[in-house]
Amino acid sequence: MTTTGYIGRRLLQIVPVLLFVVTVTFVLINSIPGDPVRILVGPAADAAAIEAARAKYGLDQPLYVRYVRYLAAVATGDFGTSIHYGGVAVTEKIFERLPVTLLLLASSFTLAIGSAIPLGIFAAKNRNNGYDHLARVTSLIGVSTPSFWVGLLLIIVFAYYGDLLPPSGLVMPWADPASVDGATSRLDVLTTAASHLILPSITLGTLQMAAITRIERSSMLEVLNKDYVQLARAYGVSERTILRRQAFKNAQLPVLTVIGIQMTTALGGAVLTETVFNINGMGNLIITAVRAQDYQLIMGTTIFFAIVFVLGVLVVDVLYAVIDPRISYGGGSGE
Amino acid sequence: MSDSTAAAGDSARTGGVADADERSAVSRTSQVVRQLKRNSASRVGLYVIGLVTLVALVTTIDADLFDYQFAATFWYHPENDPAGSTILLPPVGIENSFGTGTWAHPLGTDHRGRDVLVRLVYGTRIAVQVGLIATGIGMTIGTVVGAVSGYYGGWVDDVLQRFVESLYAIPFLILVIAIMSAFGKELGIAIVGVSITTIPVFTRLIRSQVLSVREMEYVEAAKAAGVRDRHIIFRHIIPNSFAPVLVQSTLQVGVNILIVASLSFLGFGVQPPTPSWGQMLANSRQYMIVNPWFSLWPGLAILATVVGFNLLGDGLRDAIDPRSND
Amino acid sequence: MMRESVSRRNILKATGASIPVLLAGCTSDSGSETTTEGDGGGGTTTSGGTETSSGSSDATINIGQSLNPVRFDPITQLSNPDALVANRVFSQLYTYGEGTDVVPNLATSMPTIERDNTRYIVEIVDNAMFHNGDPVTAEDVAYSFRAPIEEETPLLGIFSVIDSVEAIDETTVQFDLSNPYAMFQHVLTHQVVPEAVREEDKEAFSTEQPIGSGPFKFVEWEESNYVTLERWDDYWGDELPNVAGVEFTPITESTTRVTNLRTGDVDVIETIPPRLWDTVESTEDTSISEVESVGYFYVAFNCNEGPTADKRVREAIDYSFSMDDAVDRYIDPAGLRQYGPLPGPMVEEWDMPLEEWMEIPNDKDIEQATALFEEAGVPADWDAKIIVPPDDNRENIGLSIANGIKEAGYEAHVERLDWGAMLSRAYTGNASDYNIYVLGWVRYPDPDDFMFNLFHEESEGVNQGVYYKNDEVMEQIKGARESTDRDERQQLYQSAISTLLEDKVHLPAFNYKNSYGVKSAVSDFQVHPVSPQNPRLLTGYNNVSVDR
Repeated sequence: MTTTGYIGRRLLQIVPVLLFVVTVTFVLINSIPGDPVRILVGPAADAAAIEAARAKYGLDQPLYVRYVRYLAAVATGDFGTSIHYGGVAVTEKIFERLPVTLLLLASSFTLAIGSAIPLGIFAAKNRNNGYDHLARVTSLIGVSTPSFWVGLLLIIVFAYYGDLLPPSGLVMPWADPASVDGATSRLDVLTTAASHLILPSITLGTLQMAAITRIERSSMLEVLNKDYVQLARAYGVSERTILRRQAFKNAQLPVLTVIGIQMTTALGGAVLTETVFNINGMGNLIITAVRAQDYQLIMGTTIFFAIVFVLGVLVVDVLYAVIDPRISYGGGSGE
Repeated sequence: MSDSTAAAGDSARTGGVADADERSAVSRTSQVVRQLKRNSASRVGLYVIGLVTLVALVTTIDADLFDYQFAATFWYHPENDPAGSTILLPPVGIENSFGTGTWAHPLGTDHRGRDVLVRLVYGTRIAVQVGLIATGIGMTIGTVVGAVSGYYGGWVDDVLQRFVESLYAIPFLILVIAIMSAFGKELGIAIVGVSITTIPVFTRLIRSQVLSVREMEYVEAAKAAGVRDRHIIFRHIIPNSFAPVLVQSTLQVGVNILIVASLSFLGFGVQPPTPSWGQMLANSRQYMIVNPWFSLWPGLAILATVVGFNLLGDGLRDAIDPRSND
Repeated sequence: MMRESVSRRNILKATGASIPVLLAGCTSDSGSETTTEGDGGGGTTTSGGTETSSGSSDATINIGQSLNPVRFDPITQLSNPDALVANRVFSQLYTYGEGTDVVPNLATSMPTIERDNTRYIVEIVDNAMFHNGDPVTAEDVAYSFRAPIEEETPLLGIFSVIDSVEAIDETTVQFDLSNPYAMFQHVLTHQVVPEAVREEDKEAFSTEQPIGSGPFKFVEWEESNYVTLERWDDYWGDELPNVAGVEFTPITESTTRVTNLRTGDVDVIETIPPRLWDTVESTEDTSISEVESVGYFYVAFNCNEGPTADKRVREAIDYSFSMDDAVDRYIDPAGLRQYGPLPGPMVEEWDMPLEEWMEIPNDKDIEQATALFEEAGVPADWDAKIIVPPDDNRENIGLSIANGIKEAGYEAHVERLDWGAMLSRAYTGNASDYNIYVLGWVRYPDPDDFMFNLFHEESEGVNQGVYYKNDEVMEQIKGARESTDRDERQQLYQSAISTLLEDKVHLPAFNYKNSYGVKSAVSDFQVHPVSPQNPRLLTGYNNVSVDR
C-alpha cells in the first residue's frame, strides 16, 4: 500500500473516530446529574421559568432526539451556543480563547525545547560526571513534580512575597496599549506580556523540559555508541564534529516523538496552569464548561480537541514513515 | 534463541519452544535483578517505593478496617477536627499571624486545625491505591488489546487502534472529570477513569513490541506447527515483549499518581474530609499569603513518591537495555 | 452638564437598579489583569451648578470583582457579578436608600395603591433619557416589566403576580396584580430598559450595547478580562459621577484579588475571604468597607425521608456540634452568626424576638446527641450525607457538622458539588441524595422572599428540599404573603419562624457582610446591604471619587 493510500485510509477513519468521541462525550455529559438550566436560572427559581428556559435551549427533548439534532448541526459546522456565556456561539468562544492557550503553549514549549536539547546534549557529552548527574537529577525531579505545585510555589515566592511578577492573567503581546494597565507603547505591552508569561511558562514547561532532556540525553548516548560513530572516532574525527554531524541529527527522531507526545498531553497541563494562574484560555474554558454543564460548549471544545489531536497523530505517523522508510505500510500492519 | 524448528503439534506445549522461552526468560530476569542491585539510583527508588507502599498499606488498614483507630489513639485523627487547636500554624519553630509552630504539629496545621503531617501520611493511601490499581488495570487491558491488535494486524488492528486513538483524543483530564461528574466523585470511579486513560499507553507499547516479535522465527514455527493463536499470544509473544511493559508500568504509576493529584486539585478526587495530597494543595491556595508552608508539604510528598517510581523505572530500563545509559 | 430639577422631589438618586439577585449560581472563571488607568491626576472640580463635588475628574476607578459577569440585560436573570456592572448602566424605577428602604428613582414618588392593594400607579420623571438620547417613557417602563413575563425569563416567578402593566400616559404606569402582594414594592426596584433598542437585537443588547439611563455608559467588554464604563455627561440626575469611568476586572482567586489591591492594580475589590481580612486591614493605604448583607445562610434538613425526618435526630445533630464555634472559626470576620431566617437589619426592622431565637440552638453536648440518636433509632451504620455547594465557607460548616456526627458515633461525609449537581440534588427530598444541605438565600429584603421560598410547600423541589409539613405554618406564610398590613404580617412571621426554629427545620448559620477592600485614594465609598446595589458610586448621599 502506498503512502498516499495510507493517508487516504487514515483520513477516512477520522470520521468514525470523531463520531465515537462525540457519542462518548455526549453520553457522559448527559449523565452528569444536574441541570444546566437550573444553574442558569440559579437557586432562586420558579418552576415555570425553569421549564421555559429548558424549552428555549432544546433541553426538554429526549436524549436521542438531542443527539441526532446535534450531529446534524455539527455536520454543517454549527456547534451551538453556550448557555453559560449568555448565548454566544461556541465557535466564537473557542476562537476567542484559543490564542491565549496557544501563546502559553508556544512560550512554554519554546522554553522547554530551547533549554532541554542543549541540556540533554551537554549531559550526554559529559556522561557520568558531575554535570551529567546534576542534569539527570534535575530532569528526574522535573518529570516527577506536579506542575500546579510548581505554579503555586512560584506565585508565593515571586508574586506574593517577592512582589516581582504578577500572580495571574496573561496579556497578549498584540493587545492595544490603551487597554493595558500602565502601558503607553508597544514596548510596554510586550514587557507586560512577558512578565505575565514567565511564571506560567515555567510551570507548564517544567515537565516538558525534563522529559525532553531525558530523551535527548539517552538518545544522544545511544547514537554516540553506535558503530559508525566509533569508526569516526577511530579515524580521529574530533568529538565536536561527530556530535554535530552524525550524532545529533540521527538522535533526534526519538526526541521528536517525545516532543510530539508532550504536545498531545500538554492540554492537561494547560488546564492546570490556567487554573492556577487564572488565565482565560481553552483549558479554563473546558473546566468552566464542565462545571456549568454547558453541553454545547463542552461538546464543542471536546470535538475541537479531538480533531486537532487526530490530525496531529496522522501528521506524526506520516512524517515518521517519510523520515524512516524502514517502517512499512504493507500487509496487514498499521504503522 | 530457540530450537523451534523441531517442534510439532502438541509437543510445542512442553519442551521445545516453551522451554526455550522459559529458559531465556529466567536468565534474563536474574540478569535484570543483578543489574538493578548494582544501580544505586534504582535502589533508592526501591526504598522509596517500599516505604511509600508500606505506609499506604498501614494507613489503608487503619482507615478502612479500623476506622482510623491507630491514628486517633496515638497521633491525630486525619479527618476529624481536633478540639481547641489553632488553625494554620506554621511548622515547628516558625512564627506567623496564627502562632508559633510546635513539635506537637511538626509541619503545622491546616485551615481546620488538623495536623498536616498525619494528613500527609494518610494521603498516601489514596495516591498509592489509585496509582497502583489503575496502572494494573490499564496495563492488563492495554496489553491484551495491544497484543491482539499487533498480532492479527489488518482490520482488527485498524479498528482497535482507532478505538484506542479515540480514547486518547478526548483530553484525558476532561474524560476523567466527565466520568467522575457523571458517576460520582469516589475513589472507585477515579480508578476506573485513570485506568481508561492508561490503556492507550500500554496498547501502543505492546503493539510495537508485538510487531517486531511476531516476525521472529519461533513464532513462525509455532504457527506452522498449528499452535493456537491465543496460546501464541499469551505464552510467547506477551512474555517476550514484557520488558518494556514492566518499565512502563513502573513509570506509569508515577504518572498516574500525578494525574490523581491533579484531579484532586481540581476538585475531582475523594471528598473532604478524607485526606488527599492534591486536595490539600487546593485548600492551601487561599491561605498562600497567610501560611505558605501549607502549600509546600503536599507537593513534596507527591514529588518524593513519584521520584521513587521513576527511579525504579529508570533502573529497570537500564537493567533491561543497558545501552541506553552506559 | 448639570440638571436642575426643581419641580421634582427627587429625594435620592442612585447609580442603578436593584434586581433580584442570587449570590450563587455562577461558576468561577478566570480573570486577567488588563486594566485601564485614567490618565493623570485631576482632583474633583465642580463645574458650576448646585451643591457638592459633583463633577468632573479624569480618574477611572478600577474595581476587582470576585466573579465573572456574563450578561447585562436586566430582563434576563442577572446574577451578582452581572448586576454589579448592570446597575451602573441602568436606572431602576425605585431603588434603595441608605438601608433597605425603598425610595423613588425614575419614579417621582411612592406608588399610589388602589383597588385593595392590587393596583399600583407610578409616576415617572419627565426628563430622564437613555444613553442614545431617547426619552424614558412610561411605555419603556411597562415594557421592562412585561418582557420578563412574556419571554419567560427566570424572573418570571417574581413578576408573574403582575396581571397587566400599562402606560396610561407619557409618564404614568399602572400595574394590576392578580392578588395583593406585600413584596411588590421590591419588585418595583426593577431596571428600566429602552424598548425600541432592545427589541431590535436582544443578544447585542445583553452583550454588546446595553443602553440604559444610568450615570455610566457601557463602553467595552472583553469576557473574563474587563468591562469598561464611562461617565455619561448627559445624565438626567441631579449630579454627575465624580469618576470619569469604571473598569471592572474579574479576579476570581481571592488571594490574587487581595494582592492586586495591595499593589494598587485595582482601587477597590469585592468580597474579602475571612482569613485575608487581617491582611487587607493591616495594609497601609487600604481599609475595609463592610455592612451586614441581606442574606441568610443555613443548614437544612431533609424532613421528608431518612433519619433527619425525625425531629429528635435534628435535635441530636444540633447537640453534636457548636454552630457558634464553627461560624466564629471559619466565617468571622467576613460574616456573622445568624439565629433566624431573617438577616440582622430586617430583624430590627420587623421587631423580631432575637433574644428568643438565640436561645434555641443547643450547646454542644455529645452525650445528649448520642442519646437522642439512639432514642430515635438511627441505625448504627448510618452515614450521613451532607451536600454543599462550591463555597469554602459552606463546606467548612458542613465539615463541622460531619465532625460532630462522627463524634456522636456515626459516619458522615461531605460532598462538595458543583452548582448544577447541587441544585438538582438538594431539592429532591430523597434521602439517597442528601440528609443535610447547606445553602443560602440572598434576594429581596422582605421576609416573604425568605419564608415563602425556603419553607412553603409550594416551593418544594423548586427552592427548598426540606419538605416540612405543618399546615399552620404554611397558612401563616401564605397569609403574610398576601397581606399588606404590616402588623399582621409581623405576627404571622414571628409565629411561623418560632415554630420552624423550635422544630429545627433549619439550623440558621451565618450571614455574610458585604465587604469591599478600598484604597485610601478612594473617598466616599459606602457599602450597601443589598449586594447588587454595590458598588454605589453615585447616590443621593454619596459620590465616589478617586484621588490619583
